[in-house]
Amino acid sequence: MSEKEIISRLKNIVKPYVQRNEGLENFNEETDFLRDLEINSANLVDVVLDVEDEFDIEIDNDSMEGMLTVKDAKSIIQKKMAV
Amino acid sequence: MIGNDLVDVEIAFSEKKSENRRFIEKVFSLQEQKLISQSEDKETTLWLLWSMKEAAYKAHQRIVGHAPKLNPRDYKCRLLNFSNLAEVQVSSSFYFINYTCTDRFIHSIATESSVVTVFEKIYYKNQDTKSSFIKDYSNKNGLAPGNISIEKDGFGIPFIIDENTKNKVPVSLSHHGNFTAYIFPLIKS
Repeated sequence: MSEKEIISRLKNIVKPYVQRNEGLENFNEETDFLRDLEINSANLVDVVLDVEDEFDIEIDNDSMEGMLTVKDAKSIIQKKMAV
Repeated sequence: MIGNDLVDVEIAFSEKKSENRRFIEKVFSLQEQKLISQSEDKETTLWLLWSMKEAAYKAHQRIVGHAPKLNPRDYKCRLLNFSNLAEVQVSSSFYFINYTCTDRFIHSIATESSVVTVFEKIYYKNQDTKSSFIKDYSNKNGLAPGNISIEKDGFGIPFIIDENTKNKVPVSLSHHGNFTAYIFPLIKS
């Protein structure tokens, strides 16, 4: 799966939880889920669960701990999909 | 150090997290899962435990000074045999929790020890809580609101800054739904 494809799927996943819509207009690798999109932390756990479903992977606690930006999520997805 | 977390019950309960096995396993230890499943009011227990973890996380992040993390399972809650008190452990640190559950919100305050007292202010349906808080804070401390601002450090941790004296006071804020809660430590004289 291309990086572009992963990022566009991620954008769809986070959409329902975003509290700051300006952050979505400029959605890129550097986008920070808490700071730029103001997703609350309980919903960030929902994002992790939705990513597991969408990409058919399992995200362990250590990986979840560091999933705070689009870039973090992208590399976790790529790593887990390669296994 | 201090931290707080407020949950707007109307929004939180609508997500039906107590029926979401996968969410529960990502967030809660086996012991905490048991507390939830054996509770008469599973939603309240679940969100109370969540707010304790969040409040303790904020206090701990202030002390350790780390970048944000999503590690709720590392925070282990223990309810104490007194109403409204609990303890949260993360690695070798312990935080003392004081909580309030009403039918509209659940609020947890974490401090390093039971002797730290905090001032708390909860705003309801207030569009500009920051200005309201600065006004209330200044009034309480006899300061000019024009000199007071709230700024975040590189990790996103907020402080109250007094331009005049360059005084820096920790403040913890939590916003969910219709509620915004602010707490700051009271200086012991």
